[in-house]
Amino acid sequence: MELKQKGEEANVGGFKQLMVAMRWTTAADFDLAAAYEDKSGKQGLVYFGELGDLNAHPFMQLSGDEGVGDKGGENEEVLRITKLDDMKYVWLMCWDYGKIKEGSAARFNDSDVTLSVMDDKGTAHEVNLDTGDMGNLALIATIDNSTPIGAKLVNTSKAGTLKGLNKLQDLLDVIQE
Amino acid sequence: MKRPVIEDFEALRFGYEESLLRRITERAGPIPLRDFSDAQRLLNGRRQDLLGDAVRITADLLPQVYTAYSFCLDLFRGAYSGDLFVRQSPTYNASVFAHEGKFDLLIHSGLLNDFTIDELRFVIGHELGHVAFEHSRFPIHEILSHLREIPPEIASLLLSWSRAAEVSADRIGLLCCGGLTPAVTALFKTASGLRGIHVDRILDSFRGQYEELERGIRKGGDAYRWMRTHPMIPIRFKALEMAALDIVALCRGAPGFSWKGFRAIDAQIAFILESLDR
Repeated sequence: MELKQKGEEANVGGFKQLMVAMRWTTAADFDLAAAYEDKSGKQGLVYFGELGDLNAHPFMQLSGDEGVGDKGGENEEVLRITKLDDMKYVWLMCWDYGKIKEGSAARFNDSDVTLSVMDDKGTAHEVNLDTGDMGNLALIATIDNSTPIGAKLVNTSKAGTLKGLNKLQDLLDVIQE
Repeated sequence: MKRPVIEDFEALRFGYEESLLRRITERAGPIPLRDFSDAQRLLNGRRQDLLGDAVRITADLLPQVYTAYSFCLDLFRGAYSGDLFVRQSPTYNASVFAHEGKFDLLIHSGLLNDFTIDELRFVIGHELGHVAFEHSRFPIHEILSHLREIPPEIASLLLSWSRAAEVSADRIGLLCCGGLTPAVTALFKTASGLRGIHVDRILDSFRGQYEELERGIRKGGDAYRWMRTHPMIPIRFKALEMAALDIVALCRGAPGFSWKGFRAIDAQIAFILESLDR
């Protein structure tokens, strides 16, 4: 699932559960997150400040916050989604927290970060992160569960630049621009 | 399906099962393991019974089923050996007894008639899970048959251990069938006897029942039913649902898998089962 072309979309098939794993050893505070809109229109965010829950709404959970303070080492953040029934959209994203604080470009290209998305059938997709010259936030993919045929994963490569992580709407503005 | 290469099956054992064993040992001393000669006698006797009144499944007799069985058994790369038998019964059930790496696995004909090959893999894998985790070493049914002689706290821990052991075995079942869907539909058929229900409806049904069951157990209104060796089906479902992504990733050699992540999920499932056990 290459994400090099901005705005490229590719339906990679239906699924019931999803796991996104981000790993890196470079000294950087990268974060994995998922913004969502449920079928009642309620929006929310699973991120380092709100890890979510696998056994209750939103049935998605982030493993933890690693690389805090630009710490290198065996950093790993995993986002698991075990149930999508109540969700309309889920936007999978990652950002460079250190650079979001400054409003400057992410260090993804200068790091060894790897990102993979795997569905419940075990189909894995490697993701290339490219936020361009200025971006510090990347939308990796969108889960579209808005139709009765079931959830589908759409490759919606987008990049944005934030200065400070203040409110959900800032993220949604990047997603929906 | 490509056969997964797993180096350490022990790492898949449900952590709560291990902690219960430790707690039982701390409170009551080592659990009396089945005597070596007694286990050998049971294995031999069971095999004689199966040769006498069941049918051994071979590649000639039932090629697809035998292939599924071989697929599951080969995951262990020769660590265990045994035969698969079928006996006439419409009841969806299977059993295994193992000793010193040898076992015989019995499945009822109802499973062969009504389960898909992937669902059979889940069932066979579950039974082989009991073999791999050496659950036969603990004569739990014999111990619990003397329930009145066992302090209630120890009896309760033994039942909890037995239920946790089923969760461990389910993980090998999931590894063998390669996905949550066949595991869940196998559980559903076993519980309901129904076939041909779409998996989405089954998932809805299990999730709804789990939530109600969890509420009931937490209120303490279901203490009698919780006194059982096997966890209730919706609880097995929940344990599978939460671990499925990691086990499928392990099974497929997907880059998303890590033991660190798996242990974190295992701890969460343990927390849920332990809180229900209290």
